[in-house]
Amino acid sequence: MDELPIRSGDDVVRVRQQVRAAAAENGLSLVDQTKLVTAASELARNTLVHGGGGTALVELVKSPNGRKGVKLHFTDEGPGIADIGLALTDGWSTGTGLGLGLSGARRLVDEFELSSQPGTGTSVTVVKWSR
Amino acid sequence: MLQLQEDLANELAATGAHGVIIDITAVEIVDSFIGRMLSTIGSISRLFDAETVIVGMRPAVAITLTELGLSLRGVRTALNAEKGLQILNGKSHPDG
Amino acid sequence: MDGSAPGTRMADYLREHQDKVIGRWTELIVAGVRGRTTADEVRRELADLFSLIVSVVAGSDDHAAGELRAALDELSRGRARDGFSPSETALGVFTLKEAVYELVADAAELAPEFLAFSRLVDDLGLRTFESYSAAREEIIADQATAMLELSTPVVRLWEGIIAVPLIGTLDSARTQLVMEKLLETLVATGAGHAVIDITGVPMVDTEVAQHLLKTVSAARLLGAECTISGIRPQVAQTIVSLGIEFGDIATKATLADALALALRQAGLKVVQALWNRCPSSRSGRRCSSPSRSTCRTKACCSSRRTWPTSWRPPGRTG
Repeated sequence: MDELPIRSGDDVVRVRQQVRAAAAENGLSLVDQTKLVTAASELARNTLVHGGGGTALVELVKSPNGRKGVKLHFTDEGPGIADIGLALTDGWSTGTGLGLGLSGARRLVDEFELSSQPGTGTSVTVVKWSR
Repeated sequence: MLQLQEDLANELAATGAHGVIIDITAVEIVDSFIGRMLSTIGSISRLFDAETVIVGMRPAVAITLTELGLSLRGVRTALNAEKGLQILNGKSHPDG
Repeated sequence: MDGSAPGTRMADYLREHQDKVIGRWTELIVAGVRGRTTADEVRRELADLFSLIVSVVAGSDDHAAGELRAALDELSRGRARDGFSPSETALGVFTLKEAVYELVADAAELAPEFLAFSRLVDDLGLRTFESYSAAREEIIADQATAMLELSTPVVRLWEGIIAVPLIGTLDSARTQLVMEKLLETLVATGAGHAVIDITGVPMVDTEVAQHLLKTVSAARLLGAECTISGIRPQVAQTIVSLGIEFGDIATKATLADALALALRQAGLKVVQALWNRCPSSRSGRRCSSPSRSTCRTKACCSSRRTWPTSWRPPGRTG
């Protein structure tokens, strides 16, 4: 388990590198690695830009029936998301929307959990399994 | 990325070039941030009456972008620089 | 199994009469083996298992249980490979009870412990069944993957034009594989056009259509244009009634139509050839003159051929 701070653009790059390494280690295919790292990039940027900075946790996991995977956990103590439903709709496929990237990131992973309270911050947990 | 946009704008203004080729063969990850940057570059280029072609996208990146639902507006795509040039020079047969 | 006195008494008894028990066990198993393994091999396997079982009965060694499980899995796999049914393997384990009972029948003080021992052996026998099952599941999963791979070929139709004939249902797992193979082939061949043929896709609903659209988007990011072919009449009706829009993606009824379109888009034209193949067996090559009436001897032919323009060689179409 690795804990990484997200306070700058460089930190986002570091998160990507860590996630890539973890995904490769647990046998994710190249396409799945790319998807997970891209999702991590989205979520890390969100944490930085909308959450005012936070932390990322990268964990190697194993399912009950032996499949390996990678679990990511992003937390921030920012303003939180007022309307989660809105944030998760596809409002940015044109590339000009709010760009929260949450809905996109959700499509790239196998498991996605989001909790956010206005005023207390946001936390997102995602898992991607190897096939 | 912002530096790239600035340099590009200067270059386009100075040379009056009619096309821009952005080679992303070495780019492993394209997220929505980078995607928007690429579209912005396309918009900037168009202001200088130049067309932008993105070449060398990796299959894994293409699949991820499709899943992400990101459509790169304002730019065209080609397999490699050679084909990109063909598009810019109007040599490739128009579609449809 | 706990390490209290009862277990250890049984364990000691088993150790004492080890050879007799193993011998009888082997005998019982070999009776049902029908020549698939030799008595010696069986005895060796059983001897190994026996010492592990005794350790577990005694409860003295913590690792023994894990080792016993591993040994059983190994035995199970080996037997399955040799063509034994899982019942045969399990029954083989169960016969240990018979072998031990014959011995223990006279020793009344061991009777209560025998029940516990018997239960242990039952568990072991069932375990061999379970590992057989698990192994079959693995084979099925491997075959499913192999079938998926086989049913997704990407073929080259022409210079710069590739085709993906889809056979069977198009679910998201299949779509991923199709996208990966299609894009890899685009990069490898430098093709500019892909034809996705869905003649073999039995049903096209909104989900399948979405998968197709995704595939086309991905291919376009690599600069390739796509055509969807193999739209059957019923499929066309379903698509319209479901309100599915293919937007600016060209769709054609047959692969042939799609190929014609792709060739047109590539700036190529198919023209009727005006000359006939030189019939001389010596040449084996097509004569390079553009029209039949001007066909003259070539060095490869050594025979002079001229035909009246109205004459057609028998059996050949113009």
